[in-house]
Amino acid sequence: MSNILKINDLEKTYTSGSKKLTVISNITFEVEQGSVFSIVGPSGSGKTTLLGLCAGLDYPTSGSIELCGTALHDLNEDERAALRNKEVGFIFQNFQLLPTLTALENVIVPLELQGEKNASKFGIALLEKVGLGDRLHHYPSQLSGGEQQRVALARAFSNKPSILFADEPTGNLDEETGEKVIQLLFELNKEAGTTLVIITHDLDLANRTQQILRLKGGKIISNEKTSAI
Amino acid sequence: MSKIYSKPNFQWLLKMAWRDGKASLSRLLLFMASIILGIAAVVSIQLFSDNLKQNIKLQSKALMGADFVIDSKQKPTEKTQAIIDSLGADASEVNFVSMAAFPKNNGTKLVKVRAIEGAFPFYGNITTTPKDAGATYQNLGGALVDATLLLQYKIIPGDSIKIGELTLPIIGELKAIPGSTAISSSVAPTVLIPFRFLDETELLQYRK
Repeated sequence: MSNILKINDLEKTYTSGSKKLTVISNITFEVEQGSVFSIVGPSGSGKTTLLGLCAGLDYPTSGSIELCGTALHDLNEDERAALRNKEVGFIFQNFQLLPTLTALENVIVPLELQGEKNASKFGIALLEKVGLGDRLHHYPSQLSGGEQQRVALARAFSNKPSILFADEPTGNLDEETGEKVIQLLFELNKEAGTTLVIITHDLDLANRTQQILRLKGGKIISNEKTSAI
Repeated sequence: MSKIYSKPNFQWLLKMAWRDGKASLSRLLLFMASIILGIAAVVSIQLFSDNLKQNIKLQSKALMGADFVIDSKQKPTEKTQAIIDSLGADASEVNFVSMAAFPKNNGTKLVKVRAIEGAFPFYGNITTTPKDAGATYQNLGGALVDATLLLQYKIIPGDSIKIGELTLPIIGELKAIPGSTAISSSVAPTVLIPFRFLDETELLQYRK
């Protein structure tokens, strides 16, 4: 199976005055297309920085990233945005829904940006799939945390991404709601055949993925396949 | 790489603006009302300013009663008088503040005496009771006295007023005259007399 994400000798350093802070270094790994991949590590280990780099949201200090067969360092900002719009989905810990848009509008905005004519129809179908068919016209502030994350799930899958990055998707949810969201995430992912990259603290969740990348102090300490299918 | 989406068109931007707006309609209305009120206030002030300037421009002649006024606190020198004459001044006035007396009831009051010669005012009118008093006081050789002052001292046209050594019959009540303001009239009400009687008051003295 081909690799959808290839990271080679990645380093990210922040400079503050004369001081340099290396957040991640010597990062090399690959993610197979269609697999479920997790990145685990303690706070400050560079997980979110790595996700931002992998998704083309940030620029590395050195090293290369190949996403969906495209080398990110060859792309300008507009081209990166276009690639993300077509190939990448995101789920964030704090949902990142637009507060002035309804659940349905939040889901269909990426589709409208793609010029999809049946955006509303597709958006309704997605929200019904995540069990929010009766909350289409509710604003994020009128939804619970779990419901907001389900809207975020629907939005993430709306543009039929090739790869989905989930940064602590259950971090703001209680255990029961978090488990429901994860089950839904895995179901939607299986159905769509999307590659899933999850950043998590939760080792139980990580053990349900096919490969676990462990980070500590900005470096890889292990990269192992699991028995999960 | 191929272009996979075009930049959002104007229609989509309007749609997003509407979505944003309807989410907080009351705030949007308040915001729009604030802008409308702000613009209205600026326009009103500008309009008021323009109207005021326009009215002053239109009425400036009537307020002053003439195209131009040369004012001096001293008797003009020969050279100055020659310049004034060369400008073709059609009227002249000497005014000063003095005590006036009403022989009828021995009342006295500080007044502003305006001794006028010529067809002043050239714009606007002297408003009097009787109506024609403004036009006839020069020929009849009488005085026009501020209407409020007459009322205060219970004086009527036909009574007399004494200014310095001059006693003149009161021809009429003076209600308005170009060049006099309500504020100055309240302190020293205006008394109009023909210029030719000025010397007889013996109130005018020049520096030597």
